[in-house]
Amino acid sequence: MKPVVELTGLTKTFFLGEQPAHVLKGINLTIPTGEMVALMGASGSGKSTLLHIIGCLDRPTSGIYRQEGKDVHLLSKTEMAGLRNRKIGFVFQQFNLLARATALQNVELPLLYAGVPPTERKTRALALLNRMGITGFERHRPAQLSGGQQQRVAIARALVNHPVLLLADEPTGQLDSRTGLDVLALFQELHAETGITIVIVTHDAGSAALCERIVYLQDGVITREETVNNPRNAREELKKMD
Amino acid sequence: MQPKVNISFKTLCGEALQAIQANKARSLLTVMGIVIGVAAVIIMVGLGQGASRSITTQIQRMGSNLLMVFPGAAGSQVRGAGGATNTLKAEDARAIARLPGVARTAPEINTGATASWGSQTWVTSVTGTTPEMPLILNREVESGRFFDEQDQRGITNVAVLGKSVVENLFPLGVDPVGQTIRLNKIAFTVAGVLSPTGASTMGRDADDIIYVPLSTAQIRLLGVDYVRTINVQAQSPADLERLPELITGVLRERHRLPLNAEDDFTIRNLTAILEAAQNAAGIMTTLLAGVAAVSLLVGGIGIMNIMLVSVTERTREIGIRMSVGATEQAILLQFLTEAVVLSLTGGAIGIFSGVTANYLISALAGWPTVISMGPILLAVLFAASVGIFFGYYPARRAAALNPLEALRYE
Repeated sequence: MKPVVELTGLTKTFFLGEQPAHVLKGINLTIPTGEMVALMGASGSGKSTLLHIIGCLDRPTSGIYRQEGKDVHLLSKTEMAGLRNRKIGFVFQQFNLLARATALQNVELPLLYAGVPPTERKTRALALLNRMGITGFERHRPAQLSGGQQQRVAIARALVNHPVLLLADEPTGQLDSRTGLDVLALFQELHAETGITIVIVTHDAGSAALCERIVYLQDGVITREETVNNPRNAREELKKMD
Repeated sequence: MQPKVNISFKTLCGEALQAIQANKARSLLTVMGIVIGVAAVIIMVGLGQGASRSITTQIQRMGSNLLMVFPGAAGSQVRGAGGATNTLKAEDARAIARLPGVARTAPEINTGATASWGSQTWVTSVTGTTPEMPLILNREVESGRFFDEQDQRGITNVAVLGKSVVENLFPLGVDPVGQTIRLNKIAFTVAGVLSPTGASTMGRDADDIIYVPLSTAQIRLLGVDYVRTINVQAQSPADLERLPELITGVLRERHRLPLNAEDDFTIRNLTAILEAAQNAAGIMTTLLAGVAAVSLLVGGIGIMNIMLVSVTERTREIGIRMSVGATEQAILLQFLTEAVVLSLTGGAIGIFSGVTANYLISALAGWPTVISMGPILLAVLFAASVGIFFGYYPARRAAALNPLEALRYE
């Protein structure tokens, strides 16, 4: 089986002002299907930029990005949008929900662009919201929800179109540690239930220790990769805290 | 992979309506320009067409192929002053009637008179004419009869009344035919009543009139031997073109005018005059509608302005939509749909206001207005085009955004 993500000699250079900023300097990384991996590094290490490129929100300056064996770096804007819609679910630190839409409408959004008929949209969105444990809040707007609830809605939105790849950029950054752990527990459960490939960007070693593998980034290069032998179990730790 | 927008039209419209409803007050103000523009076009065209139609009705009522001969030179400043107005005689009308191509003629002379029946009095106008008059004017006798040649020759005191005169002189239930009325204290027998025409000609109530034989009017009422007007009906439009020359020849000969003298009469083709008036009304309508259309343009610029603001305000929203898979095309269509829905909503409100205003103008001011599908369709089409034209640039800007930069926008 082809790996979900295969990066070869990937670079990214930003041109802001006079000095070009080389954010990624030749990344080689393979993420096999079904893995839960953490991208770790200090701020400015290039981990978020790398995640944006994997998530088709940005393009590499040079290098090869293959997704399930297909060359992504050659695709058109429209084709990239198609991948974001059907193959990738993205979870942001700031949740990025539509402020004037309800939780349900937010979750339905990717299905809108996939051309799914209204009744099926609603059924699928409701089922996922239910799985995320926010039953009863479907008609609430993001401002009426807690941070944890908003991030759950965002995760439901990321998953609603059955992507192969779930990407999370500092998903617990805006949450208190307890709620953050709860969200991470959700990622672990989803991974166990569906076998979906998950990439989490974090600067927190504790969060990274929940994943099966940790990739360390520093100044735009991968410095170390480490397999976690006994990942933490977030749900059990939560139970112990009670 | 072919670029393709999967999002359905219905979904797009739903999203657009939602965005518009999210900012009701602003949306309403945005479309105000379109509302006023569309309403103005409909009111202007309605009024203009109403004016044209009333002129057309007048032309039809006036009788077709009609020429009028007046005494006095064309453009003469002394018309009505002394001798210049006394040149036309009833005999002239008979001479014209003998010309080829003339169907009939009717000389007339008018005066104001106080009509009375019992204690009722009514000031109206009296026209002395010949029995051909109702044929020329397409007037019908409702009851009784019009006077005939015998009345003419006998200088009898008979009168035919218009409907308004009957209403003002006789109480309900009294049959005016056979009654004796007084015109300037002279007794006349009512011979008949004319059917109402229902409207006015040139601002005058065409039913507020009394017809008497020409000879009676000349001798009994006015004591003159001339006529004010000779109505000439031609047999065909072609004859109408030809007749002025023939009439001029006959009248000059009869009036014994030397070769170098000016005509002492004027021939008017009233149909042509009314047609000119109708053309003028048409031009006015077009001009007014044009001015109104400018406000549509201004309205469109208003929509563009607000859409541009909206794109900037909603940069983050655009980023979010793109991050979950909205293509450039989908974003473009979303904003374009929003602009078109806005302008069409404005158009609909404008049509409603315009049509309502037209009804009010008709009902309150009594001006004739016409509401036809033409200008309404035009206004809708224009409103939609304004939406597409002025919505495209902001939509293009929205679609061209980079998803990542849009997401970071604060």
